[in-house]
Amino acid sequence: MGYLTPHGAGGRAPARRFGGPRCERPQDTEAALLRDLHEAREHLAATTEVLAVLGRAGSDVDAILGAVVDNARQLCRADAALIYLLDRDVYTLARASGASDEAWEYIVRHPFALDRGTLIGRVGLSRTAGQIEDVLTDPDYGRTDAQRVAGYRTVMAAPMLLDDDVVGMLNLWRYRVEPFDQRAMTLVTAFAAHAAVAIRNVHLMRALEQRSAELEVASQHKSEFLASMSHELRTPLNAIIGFSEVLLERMFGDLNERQDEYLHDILSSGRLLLELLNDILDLSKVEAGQLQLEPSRFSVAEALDYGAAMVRERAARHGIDLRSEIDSDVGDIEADELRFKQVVLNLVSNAVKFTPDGGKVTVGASRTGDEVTVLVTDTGVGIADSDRDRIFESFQQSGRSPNRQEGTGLGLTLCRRIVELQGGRIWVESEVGAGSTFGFAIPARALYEPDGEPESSPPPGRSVVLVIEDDPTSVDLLDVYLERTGFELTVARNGAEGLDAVRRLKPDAVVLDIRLPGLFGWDVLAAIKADPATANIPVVVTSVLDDRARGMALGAAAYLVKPISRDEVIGALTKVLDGGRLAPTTGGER
Amino acid sequence: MTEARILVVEDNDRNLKLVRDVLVFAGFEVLEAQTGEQGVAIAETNLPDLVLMDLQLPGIDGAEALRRLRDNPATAELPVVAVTAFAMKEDGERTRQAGFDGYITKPLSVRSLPDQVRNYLTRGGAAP
Repeated sequence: MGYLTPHGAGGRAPARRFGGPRCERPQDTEAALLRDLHEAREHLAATTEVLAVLGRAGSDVDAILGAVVDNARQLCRADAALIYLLDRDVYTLARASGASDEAWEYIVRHPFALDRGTLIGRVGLSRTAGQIEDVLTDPDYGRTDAQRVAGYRTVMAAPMLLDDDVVGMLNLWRYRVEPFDQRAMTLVTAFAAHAAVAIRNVHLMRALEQRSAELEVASQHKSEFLASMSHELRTPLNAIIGFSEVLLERMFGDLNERQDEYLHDILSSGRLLLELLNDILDLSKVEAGQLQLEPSRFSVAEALDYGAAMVRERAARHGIDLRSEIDSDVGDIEADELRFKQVVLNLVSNAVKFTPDGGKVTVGASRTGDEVTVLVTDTGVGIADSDRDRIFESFQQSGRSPNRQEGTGLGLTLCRRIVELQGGRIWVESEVGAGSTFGFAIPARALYEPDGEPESSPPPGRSVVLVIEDDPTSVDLLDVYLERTGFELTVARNGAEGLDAVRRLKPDAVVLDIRLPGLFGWDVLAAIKADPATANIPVVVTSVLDDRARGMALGAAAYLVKPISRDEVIGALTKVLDGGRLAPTTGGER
Repeated sequence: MTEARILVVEDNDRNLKLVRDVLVFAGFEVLEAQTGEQGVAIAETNLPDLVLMDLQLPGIDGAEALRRLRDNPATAELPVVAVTAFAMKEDGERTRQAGFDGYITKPLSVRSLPDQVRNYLTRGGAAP
């Protein structure tokens, strides 16, 4: 019979023979062991080779199949190598190496069936690699049509198995009768097995990639939806709020008491809706991880005063005593100023809202080590123990006087998220009937300097950069950009002040805005360059106008067109200071 | 005192009406445009003292309209204040970086809008 199992009767895997009891003479055992050892080594080598091939093929199914057939053909000295994928009831040719075009076309059109009429059918049924030494002498061989077109004589095949299911077949041809040896069988078996896994991995990875792409698109859609919803809702709200105000301002005549009252109702409802909208948008940004914190250095006392100022009118209306108890050594903090103020305002306005007329609200702040703690204490109705944990969750308000508790129900949730994002914590202590204290503590970061003029004596190793810029936002931005770099920022708000500072401080570099009040930037630049005492100080010009030629002609060392990125500023400053007396250093955080 | 001429670029009818009413009530002369293109054209022919430019406009947006104003020597120095629907700090910074002379966030405060406008007018006038 022409159909042979690959490893002889009983032995499918060569390694299995190691442990088996054998009645053989010592030298036979030794020879067998050596042979086994050799086979095991071949197997290992084959596997290594296959894995290397598949590794190079990457994550493209076509490339994997191509690498498998090319390498299998070469390593097994076959005339052709082919891969079929099981497609419902037939093995469909997917990839071939060395087969003629006619053979390829014929087999594609007349695929192999799942029966014993071909080697592939047989191997598929037995799930074990096998070969037919000469298809012409095999009486059961049923595809002489294909043999005539392709011309193969010796054929070998190994199944591509995934979880015991045959998913495809790796097939080798020789055009002359020459059986494949054990090494070839081992190699092809390994190729087929690894190819099956590699193909599955690629499919899984594709599915995963597609899924995550879909999720990304969905999340993108959600963000876009929120942004556009927010715009769509804001526009009519702005009209509601604005026209209420217009009428309340009596721009078009007097109002009676009822009209005045109802307009105030419309106005405050509109404002509440807007607040709710902002909170929803903020919260969804936090949830999506899109809330960007912009740390800057600011005064804690000023931020608290801002919060208190916003509610002062309301407090006065209700006869609430609003006072602040801020420790004198609280100083500055490095945090997101806007978000910090948002939290403070939320807590303070809550406190005022829930404190009965004639009560007291105290805003306090203290510093312990590297932490700033803010406490907002009221003499309000207080919060029951059972409500204390829920209160930081969305849309949870505890039982208080029913009439004045208007709010979005999202404020405290948002506060907690913002505080946590800055590495801090928020809490509440309360006694029903006596009042509540809301507190939060966040790291002060290291920029705390109780007194002293930072610009008077910069620490050695830092380059002093004088910024001549009237726009506070641009200054803030530069301040953020140059934080923790080796640059020390000094600011002048107009041209004359800037020129004076250049002469007095002799900075290492100047960042000069052009559109300045009073003395124009070009004149400042010309004056710096005209004075021998300052002519060597490099000047980086920043402007919304791209007038590089003029800047360079006047002696600017670099010209940056606004908006400017952090990299541009640091790049330009590093470049103009390069070779200067002080090289900027990074990582200056204390 | 004769108040200045303000160009308001705002696509929403009602909000445009609101800003116009408030500014006219405060004594300003108001020019109106509902698209960026219209705004640029009116600015070029009428040379207002200040432009209040909504950022989200149909067609070219406020930032692009600003770019066109800056590209034209006749309008390059015109103070242009962005009117933004966003209260976020980063959005404010973005408007500054885009080259606006300032920004006003919506909802506009009816009571303080005239003062805000006056403030930008004096600041813009200082530049040569």
